[in-house]
Amino acid sequence: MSSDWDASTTADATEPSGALLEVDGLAAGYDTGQVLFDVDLAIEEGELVSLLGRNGAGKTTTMHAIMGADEPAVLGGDIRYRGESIVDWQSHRRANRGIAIVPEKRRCFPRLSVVENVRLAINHAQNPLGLDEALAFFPELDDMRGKEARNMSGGEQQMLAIARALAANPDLMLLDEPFEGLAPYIVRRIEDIVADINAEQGITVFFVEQNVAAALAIADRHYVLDEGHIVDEVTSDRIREDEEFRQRYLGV
Amino acid sequence: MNTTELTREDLATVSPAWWAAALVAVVLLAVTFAVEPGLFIDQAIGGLVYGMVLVLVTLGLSLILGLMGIVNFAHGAFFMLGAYLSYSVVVTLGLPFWAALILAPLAVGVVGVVLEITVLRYLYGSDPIVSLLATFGLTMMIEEVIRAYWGTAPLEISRPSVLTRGTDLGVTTVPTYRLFLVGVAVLTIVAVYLLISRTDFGLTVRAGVQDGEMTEFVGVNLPVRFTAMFFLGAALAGFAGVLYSAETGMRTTMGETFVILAFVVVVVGGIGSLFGSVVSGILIGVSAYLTPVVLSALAEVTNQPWLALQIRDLVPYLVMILILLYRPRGLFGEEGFLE
Repeated sequence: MSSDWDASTTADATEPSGALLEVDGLAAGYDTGQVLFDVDLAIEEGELVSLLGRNGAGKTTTMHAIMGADEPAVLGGDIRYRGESIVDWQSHRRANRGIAIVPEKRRCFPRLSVVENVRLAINHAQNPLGLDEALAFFPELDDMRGKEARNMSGGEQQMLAIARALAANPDLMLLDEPFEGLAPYIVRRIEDIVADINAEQGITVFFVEQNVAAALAIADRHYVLDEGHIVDEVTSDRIREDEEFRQRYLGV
Repeated sequence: MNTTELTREDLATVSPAWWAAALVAVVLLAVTFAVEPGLFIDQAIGGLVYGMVLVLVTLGLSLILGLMGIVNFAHGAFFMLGAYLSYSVVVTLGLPFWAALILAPLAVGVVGVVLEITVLRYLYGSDPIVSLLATFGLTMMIEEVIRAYWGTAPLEISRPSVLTRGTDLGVTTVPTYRLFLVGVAVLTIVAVYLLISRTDFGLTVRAGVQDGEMTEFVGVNLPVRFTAMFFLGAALAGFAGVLYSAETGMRTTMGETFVILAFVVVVVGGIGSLFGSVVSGILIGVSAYLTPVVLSALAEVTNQPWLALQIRDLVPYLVMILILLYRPRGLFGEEGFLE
């Protein structure tokens, strides 16, 4: 895994324009109306980037569009992964190519056990981790291998959702509100893990967050989404210093 | 779909009233057995055969409903098509019954795949009433094709001689074919259970039932599995059709009768629960055959001849009403797809 990472960073160095994920003029929406209007993003290999914005700004819609969910419908623009347009691909194909998602509300399979949740991801990834390797990130999961997800706490389910995504050994991991509804000490635990996934595993991480403090704690670069438009691309320092900006777009 | 642990949990929640009802049922059955042991065993096995056929038909219906949200009314037509195809294999092609047992279900499975690709694929995610109407239309088409090709007169095939003999059970002699049918059905049910609970295919299907989109997100090509499930469901219905019609013959009304009973079995067992379908199919089959015997024994014991009602065809619906009054989601149902 680390050798893959070295190889890909070397390749990147020779091709400066080779962002891992590029979203270009993306417009998307549901039957009820258009949500995204002109979203441009570029995430380089190895980065840890957040997408910030108020409730209803279109953050989850962006994640689902990148993952290729049936909804939202993509109305225009392009999504490129390693330079290749994936906008017409079904989501399982995107997953097979190395994009994993920890979705909003975790969405562990409620009536599958811990092992079955993780094994499903392992069975359908091209270059997965072993079961023990994936569970080793979370010793508490290792102690409840046979437990069904529906009988687990929110924090445990979040760990399982992350373990399931990690098990596929992805190149790009999308996380949708990974800290939502978790106790503060679990939030810190998950922060550490997300930072680790990026720094130690070399996985590029793109995450959506309403909890600005948690986003600032782990990412350096942030996109700010407002009413379906990317309004800015900012550093953590800018968000910390510019109170007017914080209030206007993030409501904090 | 229940794992074994869950069913144990479910059983633990059964109330004392149920145990009391079960006790009454056991007493009634014991009395009946004492009065007419031969008839009792005969009818119990008849009910078991009927129940097993119902289970085989229902398994596919239940899997398709659970995975794809399709209310497949055409399932009865698959059952009937299996029966008529077995007639062609045995009578027209002159092949042995054993060949029909394999070939007819495969052919029905292929028909199922064709229908899935050409029609049902476009209905996923739509309102259940849409799939019900569409598959009702398919049912009409399949039934008319059967009437046009095989005619409306009842048909029958001869079974292999090994299976036409009787087996002596002491109090009565039952046709060996009935025991064969029960044995084959049990093996088939166990095979389906293992497929769903122990294989990667089964894991993806179970995940797909719980959250189809997330299953795609982890890299599973779910549409291919939908088609495979449709093949399996249709083939199981066809297989049941061959097994059943070898004993009773082929009739153009058999599809309609069985699909309605299969829906009763699904509802009684609990939508989405394979284990529930198995229990409910056997329960309905056996109670349909034994209730008239119990009533006639009661009539004899109490000297009230009016009690000996012939209500076999009514029993499945009575069972459904009773169960739904106490458990609106069925015996092992977790959440209703149609709620």
